Order: sequence, then structure tokens, then C-alpha cells
Amino acid sequence: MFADLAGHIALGLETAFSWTNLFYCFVGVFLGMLVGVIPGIGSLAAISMLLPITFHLEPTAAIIMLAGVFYGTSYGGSTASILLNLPGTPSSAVACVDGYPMSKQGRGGIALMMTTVGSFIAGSIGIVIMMLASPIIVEYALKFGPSEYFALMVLGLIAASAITTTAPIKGIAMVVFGLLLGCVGSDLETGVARFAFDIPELYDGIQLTVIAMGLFGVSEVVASIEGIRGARVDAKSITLRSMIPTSDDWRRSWMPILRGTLGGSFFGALPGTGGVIASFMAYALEKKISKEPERFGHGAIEGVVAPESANNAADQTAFIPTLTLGIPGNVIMALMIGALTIHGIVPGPQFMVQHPDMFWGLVMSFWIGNLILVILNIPLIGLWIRVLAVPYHLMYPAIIMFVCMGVYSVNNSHFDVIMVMIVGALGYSMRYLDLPAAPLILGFVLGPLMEENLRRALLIGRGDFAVLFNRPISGTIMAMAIALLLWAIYENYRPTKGRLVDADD
Amino acid sequence: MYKRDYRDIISGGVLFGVGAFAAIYAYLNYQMGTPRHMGPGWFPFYLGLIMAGIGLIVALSALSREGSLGKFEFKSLIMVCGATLAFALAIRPLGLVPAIFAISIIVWLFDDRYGWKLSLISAVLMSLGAVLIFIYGLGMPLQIVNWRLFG
Repeated sequence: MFADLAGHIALGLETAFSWTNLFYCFVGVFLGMLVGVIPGIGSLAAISMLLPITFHLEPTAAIIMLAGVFYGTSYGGSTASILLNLPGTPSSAVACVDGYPMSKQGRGGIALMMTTVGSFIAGSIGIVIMMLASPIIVEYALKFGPSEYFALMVLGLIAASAITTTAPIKGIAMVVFGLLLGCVGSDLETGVARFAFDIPELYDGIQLTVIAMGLFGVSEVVASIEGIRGARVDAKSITLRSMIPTSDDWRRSWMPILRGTLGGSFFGALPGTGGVIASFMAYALEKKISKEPERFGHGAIEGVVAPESANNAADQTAFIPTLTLGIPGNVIMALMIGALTIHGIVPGPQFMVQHPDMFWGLVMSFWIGNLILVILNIPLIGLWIRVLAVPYHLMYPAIIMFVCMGVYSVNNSHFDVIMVMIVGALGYSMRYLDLPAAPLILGFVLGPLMEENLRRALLIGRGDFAVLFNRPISGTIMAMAIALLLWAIYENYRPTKGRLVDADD
Repeated sequence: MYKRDYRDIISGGVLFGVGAFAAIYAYLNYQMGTPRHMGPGWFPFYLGLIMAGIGLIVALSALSREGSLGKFEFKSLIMVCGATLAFALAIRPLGLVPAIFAISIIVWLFDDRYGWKLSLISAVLMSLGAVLIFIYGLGMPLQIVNWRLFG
């Protein structure tokens, strides 16, 4: 097995070190860092806006860049949390609790340094797990039939929507809506144009970019215009020297980093959970097992590095089910799958077998990306602090422009731009009604595949739905999915206790 | 705080409406087929049913619950939609830069923080950026400005 691994690593390095892929890796992590630092733009909006640009690139470079944006945002998010008490991303929200007090004590630089170190270690371990676990998972998954795939997709969708949204049952409804929207257009099996309402542009279905950018780009801008204010940070206070931690800091940090990594890796790989839950759990764990719990909330470094390590590890392991099984664990992974699909690559166990250079090149580029981020975070910290000072109202017209440009560039169609406006208005209304948009994208991306697998499974089972439950693997998975569904309905009737955050990262 | 959770009543209603519409439309217009040979209408029909069912649950459970309604940012929504629409209408006949300026004009009209100087600078910077990134960087076949329109 290790000889195989060495071969894979070599192949990956060869792919990752091409000038094109290195360049796009850098662009990706740089943009990710930027987006993470700025409150008001999430990685979701950024990736949605970059999707059309990736169409002009080679698939490997495209995914490397998008992935870079994804894990780059967790590095950047903690900067705003620690320095401004304003989370740049939801998964960095926990870092505010102890990070901001550290800043007020003049130890903000140390907090930033230690989270960078922790994030790097966590990311690296996450990548190692990915390298070791993926071939094994793929080996098993190649034996899956359409029943198993359908069951996995049902479980993944229900899990992702039910666990992370404020009202689980609404999340499931939105998944179903997404599946319905995926039906718009020509049905592959029968050729019938469904829900096209005689509009020719709809015969090919709704573009993923239109939906993604409308729901996350446009609606987020509408919601943020009035709300977000810029904030002042004293740029001179963070020098390189002030970032050097004491040995006491190191001593206190290394176990929380490892514990955070462990928890993060676990939660990242599960569909439905990810960086947000991982970071909250890591903080709770550290506080619980600490011998001095009263320090937490007043600048305990453990409370900063553990959640940040957790969310970085989760970011890396989130790719495992996505790339090995084709099941997205969260919305961003769904967009990645969407991007791959548009390039003609179907993610699933076949992916690693048919495109080993892309798979291993991607894994190796994760290393490279994490390294670049360390460099960006430590010496260039002054740059990011200046970025934080730019007020949001100066930026949103550019966001509107990027959305318009991006959508237009896919088909040179101004109809698409009008569609994005409509979807954006609907998306904002959905936000207002507390209908989560993230599960919709999950359903939209997986819809056609789910239908196809269901069709095939029923064909094998001669029209009997028992075929989904008779087989041991798919039966177990379906049972889990149903259990989750029942729990979601039950949750709806309980009075809402405060739920964490929702899935719009 | 209202006595009934109006937000969830509305959202449940919307879910019910969309789901019911999808199911009915699929049933009337496309073949259902049998589970063994699923027709084009089968999947959408049942999906619509599920969605309508969930919508009912949400709306009914909201009738007996307290809730509040947030503020609906009409002005922001109209501005963003207006800017996007302006772009969509301008890009073909007028070209890229005029379309970007169209966005800036709408923003200037609606947002009090934008005086004409700021809007102009913003429009110029955005146009520069867009031309550099999209036309030179990515090689998209877009007209920068349609000079023919001006004679």
C-alpha cells in the first residue's frame, strides 16, 4: 500500500507543480483569505462568483482554485474575529470569544500567529487522513450499485439540511425544492422538456451559476447593504515581533491544536457537519477539560487555537466524501461537484480511478495552498489589517458587477442576467422567510443523479421499492435517513432553543 | 412579537403553493409511468407532494406559536435588482463599460452615501478592473464599448 501511496504522491506533485496549477492555487488561497477577512462576503458568494471564470480554465486548475478559496477563508476569518470581534466567516465566530480579549491585552499578534500554526498543522493532518482513507473508501464504493448511491444521496441530503439549518424541516423542504428545480429542462431518459413553460432558454435547465449567484451573491448583497459597517483597526499595533508567542503559549496550545484537529477531521468528513460545528465543539471541549476554565472568555489561547484548528481540519476532510463518493457534505462541496460536472467529470468512485492525476494533484495542491497561506498570514498580516478597514458600501457595487459579469460570461446571454436578478429577489425573500438557501443548492446539484439512480434501482428491483431496503448497505443507510427525517419533524414542534448558525457559510 | 408566527405561516404557505403547483403541473402534463418504468412526471410529482406536505406542517404548527417579522429591505432589493437589470439591458447594445456605468448610476440614485464623484470613481475603477480581468486576463469576447451606436 505504501508503494502505491508513494506513486500517487509523485503523480500528485507532478500535477500540482505545474505553473498553471501553482498560479491558480495562489489566486485561490489569496482570494479565499481576502474573502475570509472581509465580513459581509462569504466563501459561498465568492465561490459562486468564481464558478463562471472556472469554465474557461482546465478542470484541474479550476478545482484547485476553488478549493483554495474554500480553505483559505478559514484562515482569513479568524483575523477579523480576533482583531475586531467581527467574524469573517461563521466558523471563526468562536474565535472572537477568547481572541478579541487577547487583542485587547495586546496579544492579538500572538493569537494570529498561533491560529495560523494550528491551522497549518490541522490542515496537514487532515490532508494525510485524506490521502490514506480515500483509496480505501473508493475500493469499497466501486462495489456500490444504484440502490446504495440513491440511499447515500438521500442520507447526505437529509443530514446536510437537517443538521445545520435553523429549522431542520424547512431545510429538507428546500432540498426537495432544489431537486425540483433540477428537474427543469430536458429529462435525459425521455427527452421531455419539463417545466420549461415554452421558454427556449429553459430547455437546458437552469444554470448552476445563476442559482448560486442569485441565492448567495445577490441576496447577500441586498441583506448586507444597510447592515454592515466598516471598523477601525490600528495597523501599527501588529508588528512581526509582537507576533512571537512565549513558550508558555506554545505549551498551552499544542494539545488543543491536536484535539481540535481530531474533532475537526471527524466532523468534516460527515455530511451535514463541518467547520462551524467542529469549532464550537472544540471550544466546548477545551473549556470542559481545562484545569482553569475561568480563563476562558478572557483571553485563553486554548480557546482560540482549538476551534481554528478544528475548522481547518474539517475543511480538508470535507473533500473526502465529495471526491470519493460524489456526496457533498455541504453547499460548497456541492458547488465543487457542480463545477466538475460542468467540465464533464462525474465525481464518484470512478473519479479517482479515471482521473488519478487530478485527484492526487488536488491533494498535493492542498499542501501547497496551506503553505502559501502561512506565508500570507504571517509576514503579510499588515495587508489584511488594511483591508479590514475598507467600508462595505464601497465594495458592493463591485460585487454586483462581478455577479453580472460572471453570469453573462457563461453563455453571453443577458437572459441569464435577468434570471439571476429574479433568483436573487427570490433568494432574498427566502432569507427573509427563514427558508435556508444552502440545502436548495445541494438538491439542485444532485437532483438529476438521484433520479437516475432511483430509476435504475427500481428497474433492477422490478418496480418494487423494497429493493432500496433489502440490500444490507442501502437498507442501513435508508434507515438512518428516515431516522434523521423523523427527528427533523420532531424538532419542528419543539420550541426553538437557540440553534448555532445556518449552513450559508 | 405577534401572537401567531406569521413568518412561518407565510413560508409554509409558499412551500405548499410551490409544491402543489409542481405536483399538479407534473401530473397533468407529463407521463407518470410505473415505478418500474418511471415517466418524466413521476419524480417531480412526488417531490411536489413532499414539499407541499412539509409546507402544511410548517404553516399549521406556526398558527399556535409566537413569532416576529424582520425588516424587509425593499429599497436595497429594488436597487440591486435595478442595477442588475440595467446591466442586462445595456451590455448587448452598448457594451461592457456602459453597462458597468449603468450599475453605478443606479447605485448613485439610490444610495445616499454615493455622491456623483464617488460614483464616477467607482465606475471607472470597476470598468478598468473588469476589462483587465475579463477581456485581457480571461480572453472573453466582449465589446468594451459599442462605438457604432454613437455614429
